[in-house]
Amino acid sequence: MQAETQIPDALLVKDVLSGTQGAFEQLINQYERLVLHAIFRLIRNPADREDVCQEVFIKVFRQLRSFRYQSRLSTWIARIAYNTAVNHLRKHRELAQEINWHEVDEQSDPALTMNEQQLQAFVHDKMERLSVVEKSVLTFYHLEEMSVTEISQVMDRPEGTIKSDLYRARKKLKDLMPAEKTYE
Amino acid sequence: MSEDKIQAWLDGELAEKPADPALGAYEQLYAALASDPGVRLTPGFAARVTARLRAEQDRQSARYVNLAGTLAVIASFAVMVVYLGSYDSLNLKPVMETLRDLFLPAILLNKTWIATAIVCSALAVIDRWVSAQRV
Repeated sequence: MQAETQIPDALLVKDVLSGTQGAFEQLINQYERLVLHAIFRLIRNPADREDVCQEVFIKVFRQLRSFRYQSRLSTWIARIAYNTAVNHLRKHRELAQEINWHEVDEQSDPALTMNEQQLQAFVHDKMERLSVVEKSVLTFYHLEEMSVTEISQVMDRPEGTIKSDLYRARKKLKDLMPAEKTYE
Repeated sequence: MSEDKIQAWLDGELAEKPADPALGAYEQLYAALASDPGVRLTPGFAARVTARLRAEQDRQSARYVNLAGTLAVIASFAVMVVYLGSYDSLNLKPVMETLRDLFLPAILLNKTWIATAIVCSALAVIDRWVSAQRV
């Protein structure tokens, strides 16, 4: 559930650290969408997703005292979420099961006519074929509207590499899309 | 190379709109990528996380209370042994010497309240540490 009232980060952090009743629940409400978006394309099982989200917020609570405002709180939380999801994948060996892009058969039907909703579903479905890094950069950039600099901080990759990842991921998806003239 | 320009324009990095037939497909793709995927956490997620954290904190508090209680018993025993003076018949001399070393400040000043103050301070520090950053 998205929080109705957004509390400024500095005040929220201060309240959580001083033990104000309900402050941490407010922080969760403000950032649960970000955390879920950061992990949902990497972890397929909904029950695992919720467990990982819980793990992320517990880490946030325990490490909040070390937050030094060197980035936005959202960037710091997204970094914890991304690293937690990647560690979860490593632990469950899901990284090794990623589909090799070059081995995937082309399944898109160029004659398919799609409306906007169908196209969204199509794109979200095709994203399953992308690597963890590609899925993540697309999510942070397009869904969470983070800048390349912020994504670089979240994923601990150079900005130039993030730009290449973005270009490559979008090109892969675009090449899978049906021909433009068939859109409604 | 032209797709580079399309993406750069859509990212707001180019002023001139590229005339490329692939532009429409990219515009559709950008719109789809920015659309809400519709995933949600189950209701009450925040309450479940805070409940889990509270349970962990309560377990930790219980551990420190036990530690503080043990410290209080040791201190009380030390004060009792130091001030009762009947330890010789119980052959408590080695224990006494150890306790005297531990509670040297209290013994030097010969004030019971010093020993009590040490225990109370320890309890206060532990309580302060445990109660900080409660959920």
